[in-house]
Amino acid sequence: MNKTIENAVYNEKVAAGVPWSYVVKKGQTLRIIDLEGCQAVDTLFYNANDHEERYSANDTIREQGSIFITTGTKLISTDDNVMMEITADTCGNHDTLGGHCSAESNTVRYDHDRKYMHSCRDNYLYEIGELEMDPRDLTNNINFFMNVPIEEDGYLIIVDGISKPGAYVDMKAEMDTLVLVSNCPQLNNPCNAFNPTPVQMVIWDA
Amino acid sequence: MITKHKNLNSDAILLDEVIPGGAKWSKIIKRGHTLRITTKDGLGSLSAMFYNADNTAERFNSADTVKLQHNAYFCKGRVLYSELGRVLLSITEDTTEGFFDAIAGISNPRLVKKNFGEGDFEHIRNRYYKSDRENFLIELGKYGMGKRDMIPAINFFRKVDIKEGSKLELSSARPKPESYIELRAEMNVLLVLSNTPHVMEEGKYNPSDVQVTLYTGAPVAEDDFCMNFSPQSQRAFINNARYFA
Repeated sequence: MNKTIENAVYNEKVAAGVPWSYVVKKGQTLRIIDLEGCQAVDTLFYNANDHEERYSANDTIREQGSIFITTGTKLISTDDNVMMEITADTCGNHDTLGGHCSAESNTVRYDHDRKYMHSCRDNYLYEIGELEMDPRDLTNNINFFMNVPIEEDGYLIIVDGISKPGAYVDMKAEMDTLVLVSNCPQLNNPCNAFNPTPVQMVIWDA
Repeated sequence: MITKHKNLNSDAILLDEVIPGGAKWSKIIKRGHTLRITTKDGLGSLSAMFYNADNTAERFNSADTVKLQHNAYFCKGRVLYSELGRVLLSITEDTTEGFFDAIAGISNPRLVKKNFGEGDFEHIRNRYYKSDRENFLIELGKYGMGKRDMIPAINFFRKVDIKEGSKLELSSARPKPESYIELRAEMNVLLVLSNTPHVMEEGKYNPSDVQVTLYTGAPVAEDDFCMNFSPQSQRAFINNARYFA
């Protein structure tokens, strides 16, 4: 089936800086569109029927032998199952190591006066509260469209993104998967080009 | 078992024991105490998960740790952060010279079988091939904790190189026999350890003994090496001080 907005079963814009969650059914494909470019989309995955099974960054990275996510990457769970498979990627640069920003880590990264800025962890904790999940369900996430190159000596830092307006990543669900997103509100580094913007979520049936 | 510890006054030692290859171990390390972890023959690999013992919802966060120190690797002076911008453990000594891995994760029964073949209790009794997953679930259960508390771990005594900017490779290099790391608790820390082969190891299932030596030390001084290692560490220690205010 040719994927068009007309034949999508879900099509919603997620405003800058807010959380979003939705269950993508087995066989469905989720597309995340970076509408204006260079917008980090902090994303976590859970088995929709058992939230204790979640995305595992370690297992995903190790099983494919690479720290980057792109077409062909299988997202592996903490219970050793495939949750999603990346089926298209027009950006080619997604971070797996950096995790999500928080009020507390901002105080360490930048200064104590940054504590009261909005953060991904606040988005996650709020959404997890609304979903009646457990705060301990949080773990290392994927940062779609965020650029974190790593050097031979381990040095890494968030640098300017390479994601162009309209870039997207498609992922096909291999189980009913709760996708939990924080559309990153970080203003202290180039992960969002210092200007957080909306993204579009589109879902197609198999 | 090592009985004469380098640079360590025997009067300060609170606990000294060997964790045999394959075993699991846990302890609450009190704030200010230091745990020396020694690899007997340099061939060990030890996985660790750890938590604020007074509030286990505050956990080691490998992503924050890597991000805050701008490096995926570890050395003396660096600190291991909780997800609340505080320091759980400081790396106050490292004679292994950088043998840490926070990328590859832990083993599970499927991977142990794939990497080492069959080794079940029925046939080889207590030498059976244990995986990190079972070790952590068992040990965490003793604190009323479970799968949700299984955080991305850090592995001691092995290193995973990242080649060409992305490719993972388990380094064949090993630390020297009887080399050690020291971790100083910056709050009361629940430390859970699993002493099984590294998740990317293959061939012979041959885990190696490690020794844990807990000792008391002087309070953190103004010129402390770890606290002053970076501006980030200085700010994190301020967060710790505020937590205990």
